[in-house]
Amino acid sequence: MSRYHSEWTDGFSDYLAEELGEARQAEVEAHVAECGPCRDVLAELRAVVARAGELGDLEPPRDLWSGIASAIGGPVRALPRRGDPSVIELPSARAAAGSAVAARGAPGRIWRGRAGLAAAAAGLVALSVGTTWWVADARMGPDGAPGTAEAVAGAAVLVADGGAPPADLASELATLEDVLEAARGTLDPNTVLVLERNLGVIEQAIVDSREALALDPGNAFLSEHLERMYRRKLVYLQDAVRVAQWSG
Amino acid sequence: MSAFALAVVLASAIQSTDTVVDVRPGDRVVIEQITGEITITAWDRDALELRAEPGGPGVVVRRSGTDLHVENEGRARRRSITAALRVPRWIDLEVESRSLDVSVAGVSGAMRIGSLSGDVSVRDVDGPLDVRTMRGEIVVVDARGTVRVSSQSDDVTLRRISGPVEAHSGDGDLLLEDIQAETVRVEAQDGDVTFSGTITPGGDYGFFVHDGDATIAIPDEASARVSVSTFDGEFRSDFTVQVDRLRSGRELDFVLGSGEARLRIEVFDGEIRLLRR
Repeated sequence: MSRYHSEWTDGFSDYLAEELGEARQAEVEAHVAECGPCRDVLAELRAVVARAGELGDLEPPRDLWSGIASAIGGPVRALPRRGDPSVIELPSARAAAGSAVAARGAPGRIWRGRAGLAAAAAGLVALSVGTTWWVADARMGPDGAPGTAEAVAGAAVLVADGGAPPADLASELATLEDVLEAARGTLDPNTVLVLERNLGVIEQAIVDSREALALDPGNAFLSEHLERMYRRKLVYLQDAVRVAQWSG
Repeated sequence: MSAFALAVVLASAIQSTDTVVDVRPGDRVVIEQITGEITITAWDRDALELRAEPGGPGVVVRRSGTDLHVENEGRARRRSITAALRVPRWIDLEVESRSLDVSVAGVSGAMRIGSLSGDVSVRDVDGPLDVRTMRGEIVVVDARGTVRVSSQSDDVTLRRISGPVEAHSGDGDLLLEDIQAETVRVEAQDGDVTFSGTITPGGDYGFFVHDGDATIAIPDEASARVSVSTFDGEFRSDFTVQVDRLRSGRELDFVLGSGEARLRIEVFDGEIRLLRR
């Protein structure tokens, strides 16, 4: 459930534009005075509006998405390229980096060792009904040895070095991010706020996964998980561009 | 009123609110850029009835080929409306809106609902269903076709679903109850996943959570090859687990019964619970 009240926040952009009428403007102010979560949303929205006001009228970054850009309409803003096109920079996620994994401690300490589970690693173990199970060592293989070559090889196939997205995803992610950024100035600030919040959740998941994979590069599960997060981001950006088309 | 409306529609003119429009096989209803709240129910007539709040902003029906567009009158575009539609049971339905609460019941055609913001409630439907919202709760009850739902920042609830399921939440919980589907794929970035349902032989069931718990309740007699993976969390099981394979980290495979279905549960940071229904 939403922590804030969408019946109020949906009207915040009109409130900031002073388009609600005197009575409704006053109602919004009264609600915000009493509701902390809505007050936070309004503050974020003010910031978005301020940023939008700083945007200039520039050309689209490329013609690949000219159809979308024209559907969005209005001026769009070119983005500076992010250097190596195969690597997506995640500035907002980076800002939050260091919190998630670090808060959990180093991976060696994450796994709660349990006496007797060496037997589980050794082969077949029947666990009793209702039991709680821990794995003794993050890097333990089927024979109790460090991670298998198979797992390491599997990881290498899925994501590029450093946890960057696979090449086939990287360029599409970058393009979609450019399109959305270009559309920012033409979208309702409330829309921008929603899109940014949602993207932040996905980017945080990517940061968590990248940091975990950096600490345990041979972990096939982490590699697959990270790739899944990138694919989820791709789907999200595709949806967001679609929303931008009919919200602009 | 009905005959008049039909005549005007055939001339591609705009209908006013409280309108009844004849619908032909192959038609579909397209709801676009309406803000507010709309309730759609099926009836046994080949006609579309639109009723809007008296005195409220104008809502119109406009025919374009086989599409019946339900939309705000131009001047009322930014104003919130409350409207009710009755549509033929077989109709296909498409909704795209910036901010709209949508409620649908009894429709057996294909449905696509997309919104930036707004809650979506769907009940008693037979056709394929695709719901995507950036911010809004999704509830689907008694669906017999394919169900694909995604809310980027709110809860998703599915009850009594018998078709294939694909459900996602970016920031919210996913609750799936009484699911009887051959394929289920559930994904959450930041939220808990709770599933209760059958495991069909030959079926494929996947639950993927980044930050949250996965609670999977399946029948005692379930027959499945199970893979469980977690980066930082516990695994609890009501079932006796005989480990077939232990991979790097917290990953293991085991078999329930004779292993006729495939069940994958992967959680990055959270607890996995495999329970008996």
